[in-house]
Amino acid sequence: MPPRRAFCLLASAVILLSGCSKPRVDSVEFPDDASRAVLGTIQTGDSLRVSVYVDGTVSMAGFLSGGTSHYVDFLDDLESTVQNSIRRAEVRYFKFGRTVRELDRGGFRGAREPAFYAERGISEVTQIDSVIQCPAGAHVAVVVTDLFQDEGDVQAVVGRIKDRCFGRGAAVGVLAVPSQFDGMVYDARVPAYRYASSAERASYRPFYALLFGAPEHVERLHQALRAQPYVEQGHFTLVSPYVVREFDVQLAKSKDSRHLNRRDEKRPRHFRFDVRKGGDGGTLTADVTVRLKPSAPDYRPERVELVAFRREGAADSARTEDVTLRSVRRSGEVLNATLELRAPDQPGSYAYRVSLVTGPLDGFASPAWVRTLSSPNPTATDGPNKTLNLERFVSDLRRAASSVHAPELARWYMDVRKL
Amino acid sequence: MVRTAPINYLLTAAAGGLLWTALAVGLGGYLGDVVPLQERTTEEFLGLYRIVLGVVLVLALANCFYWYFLGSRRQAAVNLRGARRVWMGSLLGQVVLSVVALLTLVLLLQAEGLTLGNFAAIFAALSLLTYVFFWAATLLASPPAVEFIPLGKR
Repeated sequence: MPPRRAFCLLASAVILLSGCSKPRVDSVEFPDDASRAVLGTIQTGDSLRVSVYVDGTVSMAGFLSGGTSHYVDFLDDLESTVQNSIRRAEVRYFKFGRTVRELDRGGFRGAREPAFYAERGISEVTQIDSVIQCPAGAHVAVVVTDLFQDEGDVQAVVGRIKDRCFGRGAAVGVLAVPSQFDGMVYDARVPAYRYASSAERASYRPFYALLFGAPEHVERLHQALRAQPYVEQGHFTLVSPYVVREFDVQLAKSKDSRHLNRRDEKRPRHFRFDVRKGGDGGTLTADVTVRLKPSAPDYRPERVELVAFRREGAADSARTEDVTLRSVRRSGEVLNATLELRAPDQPGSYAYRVSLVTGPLDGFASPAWVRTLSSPNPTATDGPNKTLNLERFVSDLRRAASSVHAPELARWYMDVRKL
Repeated sequence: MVRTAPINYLLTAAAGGLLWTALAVGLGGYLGDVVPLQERTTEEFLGLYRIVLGVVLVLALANCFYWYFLGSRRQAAVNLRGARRVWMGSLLGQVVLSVVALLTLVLLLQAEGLTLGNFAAIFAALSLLTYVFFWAATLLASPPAVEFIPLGKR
């Protein structure tokens, strides 16, 4: 055969062979919103409005303790703390009890006097649900109270918070400040009793600052308040749609998944796999590192759930059972999860968005400080300085928040080609 | 004209490049979809496969060019028996090269789980780029003094 003809034949064969390779189907992808979905909004701007609601009922008078107490310090320092930490801060004051009334600065300073807590028409009843609000924008409501509530109150308050706050994506911070106390303790399951703390810190009785607002602003205000020495880091819990500070995901296939091949990752948290002909999927192992926010309660690994959405082509995504969670084990900050992938029968490209979410019902453990400060029945002789139903309140809050939006621990994406 | 330098060198290089492209992209695409991989990603496997194909092609081209160089010298026309020994030795060397390349891939991929069929396809590609390519190129483009030495040429 003449060399020239042979060469032309070879060139034709090459072009044909190369053209026979299967055309790559355009991959469909989810937009990468993992950071926003798991971590929430980080930036806050340099202005903040703070509305302070002081409980003016008679049960709060004991916190004055003769005029020198952490409660008095907290009220004195509140405005300066906020002004020093936030460039443009605006603070307004209110008094609440049976009703709500706005105070000027002079009226607010009156909270250091016993007469503040004896005003007729306010001091008789703590209607805390009247001041529950989660203002939009850069605005945080701070409710200073002793948070003493029976079961009915807890339910009503939590329900109100769920409707007005969690339903809008807002967060609640519960800050406990142990303070000197010398006065009457009301609203317990027993008749009112007298209690006076000693010099021992363990004898102090806590009052609470409930912070309501957008998660990033609540955290920011808490950071500002932490500047005071009597505000302890460990006595704050954040009930928020966002509990994670940072996370990382490493995904691999198990050795016995012979019909599943890994492909190179194009971007962090975007994993690609091929399901070869004759197979329908395989087993994946995920090592998920989760670093919680310091103020978030710890999650229960046994309650972690997996939520997956699938998208194919230009269609909207839909929840899918193609990816399921077989087991999960925790070792410190790392969650080791075993997943099953079952791709659809039809060959094609499929995009998955996979999230590990905390259990909606019992996904978090009560912080230790909450258990320490709480009592189901404080009396003059048994836990006199503890708070009635605090643990119930905090756990109900967390459950209510999770029922609206269960916080995610991690999110990643998978592109799967079924060959 | 095809048998004269530099045409034969250029045509051989071009043919080798085309063949590599067909086997690296065409057959590579097929292998990427069918081989089972335990540790490596598909892209890592294909990268390794294409590099090995590239190395054997370079060695095969070097062998072809050496043959053309030898065949264009006056001594080749005078000592055809010696030239035939060189060509046969080169052909067998290319066979050894294909086997060594295959064994290299077998060792590097032993943890992956490739089947006998997968390795047979890879060996077919290595063969096409080594002794088959050497034979075909020298058959079609050897210098006139040694054009009848390659097997099958009369």
